Amino acid sequence: MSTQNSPVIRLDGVKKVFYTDEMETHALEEVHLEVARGDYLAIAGPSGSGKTTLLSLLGLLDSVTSGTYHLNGNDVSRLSAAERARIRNREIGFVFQAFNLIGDATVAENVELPLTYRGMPAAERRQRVAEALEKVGMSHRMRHYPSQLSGGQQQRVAVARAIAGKPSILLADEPTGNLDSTNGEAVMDLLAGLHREGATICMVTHDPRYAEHAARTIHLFDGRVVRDERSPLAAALERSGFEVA
Amino acid sequence: MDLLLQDLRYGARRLARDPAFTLIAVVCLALGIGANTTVLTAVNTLLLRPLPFADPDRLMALYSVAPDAAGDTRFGHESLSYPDFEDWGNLDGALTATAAYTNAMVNLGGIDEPQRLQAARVTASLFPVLGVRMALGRGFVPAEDRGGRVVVLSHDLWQSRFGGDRRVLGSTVSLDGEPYTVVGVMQPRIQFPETARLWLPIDPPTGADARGYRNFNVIGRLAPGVTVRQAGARAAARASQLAERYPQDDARRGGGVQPYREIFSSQVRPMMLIMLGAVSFVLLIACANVANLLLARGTTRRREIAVRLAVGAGRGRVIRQLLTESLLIALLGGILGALLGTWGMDALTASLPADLPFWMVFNVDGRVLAMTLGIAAASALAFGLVPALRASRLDLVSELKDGGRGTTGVRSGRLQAGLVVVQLALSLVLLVGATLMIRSFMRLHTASPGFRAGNVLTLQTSLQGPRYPAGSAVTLGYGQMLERIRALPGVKGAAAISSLPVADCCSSSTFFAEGRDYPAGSAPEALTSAATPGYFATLGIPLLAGREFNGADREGVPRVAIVNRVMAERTWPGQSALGKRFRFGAADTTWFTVVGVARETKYHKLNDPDLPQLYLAHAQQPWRTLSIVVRTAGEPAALAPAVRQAVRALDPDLPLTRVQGMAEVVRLRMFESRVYGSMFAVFALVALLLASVGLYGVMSYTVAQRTHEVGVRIALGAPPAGVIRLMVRRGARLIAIGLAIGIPAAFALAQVLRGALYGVSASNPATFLAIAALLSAVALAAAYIPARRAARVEPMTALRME
Repeated sequence: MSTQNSPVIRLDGVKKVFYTDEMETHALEEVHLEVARGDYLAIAGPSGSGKTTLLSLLGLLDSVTSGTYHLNGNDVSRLSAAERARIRNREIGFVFQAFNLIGDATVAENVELPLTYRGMPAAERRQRVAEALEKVGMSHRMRHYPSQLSGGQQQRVAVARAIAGKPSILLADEPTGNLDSTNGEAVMDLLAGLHREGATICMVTHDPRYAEHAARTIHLFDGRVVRDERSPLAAALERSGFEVA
Repeated sequence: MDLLLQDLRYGARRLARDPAFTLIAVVCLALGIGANTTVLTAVNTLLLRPLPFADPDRLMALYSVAPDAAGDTRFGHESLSYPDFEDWGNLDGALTATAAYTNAMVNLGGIDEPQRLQAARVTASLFPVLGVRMALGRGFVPAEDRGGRVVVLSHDLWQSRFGGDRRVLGSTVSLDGEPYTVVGVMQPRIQFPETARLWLPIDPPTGADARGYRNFNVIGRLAPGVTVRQAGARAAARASQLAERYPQDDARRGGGVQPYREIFSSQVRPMMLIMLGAVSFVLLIACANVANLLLARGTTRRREIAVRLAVGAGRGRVIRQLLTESLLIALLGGILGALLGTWGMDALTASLPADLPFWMVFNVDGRVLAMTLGIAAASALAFGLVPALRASRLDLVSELKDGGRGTTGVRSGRLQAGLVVVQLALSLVLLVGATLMIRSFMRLHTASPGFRAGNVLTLQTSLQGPRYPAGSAVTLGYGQMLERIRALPGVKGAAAISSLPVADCCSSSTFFAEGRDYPAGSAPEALTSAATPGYFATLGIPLLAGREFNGADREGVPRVAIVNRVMAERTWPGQSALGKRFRFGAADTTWFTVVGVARETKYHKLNDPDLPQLYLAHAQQPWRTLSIVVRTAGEPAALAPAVRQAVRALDPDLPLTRVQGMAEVVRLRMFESRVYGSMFAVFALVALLLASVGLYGVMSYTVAQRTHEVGVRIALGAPPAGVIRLMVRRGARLIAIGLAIGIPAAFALAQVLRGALYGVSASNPATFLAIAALLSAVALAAAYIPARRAARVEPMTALRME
């Protein structure tokens, strides 16, 4: 079981190979990675480097070809689809580049969605939804539909959905990719705020400006982690004796 | 529960947001379910719904089995004679009780206008055997069994003619001019055996020939622990004993027992099963349509489903959500289908004859609604499960990353194509089957009844009571009546007959031709009726030899008869029947001389086999109840008031019933073929419509998916015709596969239908080819329209759609 000091995420020698009719594509090669609780990790790299594949494995949207993945100290490398769904629901929150809100559901219903799959009583769900929307500043739009919101607002709702279930980790895949710079900054500020409150965040980005928001950045190239660095700010704070997750 | 409500709420919202999809899916299903509801209503009424008697499954009909009459199976099951009924008893305890009854018509007089009513003469045991009770008073007692002057009224007659007055008990009513005392009023909604409005005690013949007078229907109640087979064996044994004891009347005669309901259901069951098969096909085609729509829609919902899966929904949970939506569609389709089915049933029952048994009420009851609901639920699974399974199996990473471009997978495309092939094959089978049945019914409609039905007015009356005490008075009465009618302007001829062809089936007699020795029990039988002079000319029945009856054929002169060609050829093969003689009993001294040979007429249905028929001169064999036939110069209905007035002028107390054109009589008799034919036509049209919509939908979708490819091709210089050819080729391939599966299947089905067809070959290649061509043309059109639309697209528009 996890302890406060043990990493939330630990990958050991993880490989991911995609097989098609005539060829196999090695998307990830021998990835070793540890993410501590409360860490804010940016995953950077050029197109095709394996960023999204890594995030998919972390989010249990896909399974490793070889190697092991421990989440909160539990080996989740080879679980059934149903078991993976259960862990995704309880331990992982997603923020996608394309928001991925359900168009026919209201803002509140979108945020409530992962809680309904958890079998949570309705009253508790409503309270969690209200809290999450309050946190992202979207309480006043809870009865609206996604199509009635701006892109920035939709992404804030997506963040609310990701945090409503109080997951162990928050995974963000290019969360600003579909936003203009103003809205992009706002979303990044939101994530930074969540991090300050203790959230563990892994974010894929190819924009160095946004990667700087993270305390730590790993760089991928051809499926391998080629660099793992602390952000200058975090490093300076550490040198000054501040504990930076 | 909370989650189910949430699923329902979300599903309803999704359907409301996509009204075109919802409308098409619901209408497709409603057509399929509506067709099923209509047929299920008929099946429920005819085969399933319990008869309105106590423990109806143990109610048995007892019958006598006639010796083979020259292979005429029409004479297979027969009623019993009263002495046989008494001798059969309760079949040594196989039955707890038995009862006999016979239909009758009586003139109810003394109140307002005289009324001719359907009645039944019954033994006192009938009401206890049926387990019905009296609303007022009592039933009959055994002491009244031989013509007691007491009567039980039906509840509706009591209400309509006696105002529901309880003082009717003990009062006297006039029936056929005789006084009868009302002793009881039946419970509501009972008109046993079919449409009886009052019941009289049975009045069996008592003469020496009573055992040969087989005119009594017998029912009994099966004793506890006894099976139908055991009771049947005892009936056969008893008939065999009687055949030995009374060889003159009962030789080689058998006996049997069958559930009472089967008297009606055995005739309609095969057609009902065919109908159920047909509507099952319609429903399957509708389900394939909706499944295809859902598959296409599933493609556009991939991202939504991927999001649900990503945030932790299990696959089962997603499938449940999708099936909930399917169930909502099915529920809406079921409700609309039930309405369509009810409407369809109402339309069909409007053309049913009025003399159906009282319990045959074709309405949608709880059982039909439950079955409709079950069908709707099963449909939801049938059309919803595969699309739901398919939709819930996604590559989450690419769906969430790419946002799902709406491209369909190869497997999904194959599944949709497979469904279209199934639809085409099912439609072909259904259309071929329906076409064969429709052609068969059309043949039946054009079959000749053996007479000219146009411009003939018919009506029935009965000369009863003290004013007509003897046969001579009856003959005189009808003679005067016909004279008055013939004198009316616009009347070209008038005559009367005891059994109106097509309407009154079937009174038969055993006859013995002169010079023949018949082994006991093997004398032939012929349908028998009595006609007045001019009957054949009036109704337009061709006389093939000899003459009509005329005024000289009266009481006191040698008896004469006219026989039909079948009787003439079977009885006197290779000879002229004219001058030949026959009698009705082996020891009878009264001979009948054949003076004419007439063409066969249909006696019940137009597809009846031709049977021996003989006509007696009414003046020599006076029947009290006759149907008058009036040949008119113009529209028969226009003459009805004048004819009615002429009869009333002769005797104001005479009731007149069944006043209608002969063409209408024939039309009503053909209600079965008309109803079945209409139903098959509707089912075939619905199937064709559904298959066309299905193919059009899939082709439109497939073409839309390939719009980008079309743009590339056009940008590279492909001519529009080439693009259309490319797109239509895919549709053509599906059509070819559908036909390749459908034609052999249709051929196999046609062989199953062979027994139900009249005058139509089950393997006529023209039918198969015509249907295949029709279906191909419709399907190709469904493929062509979206292909042409795609070929007109601007290349840049198409390229931007990637």
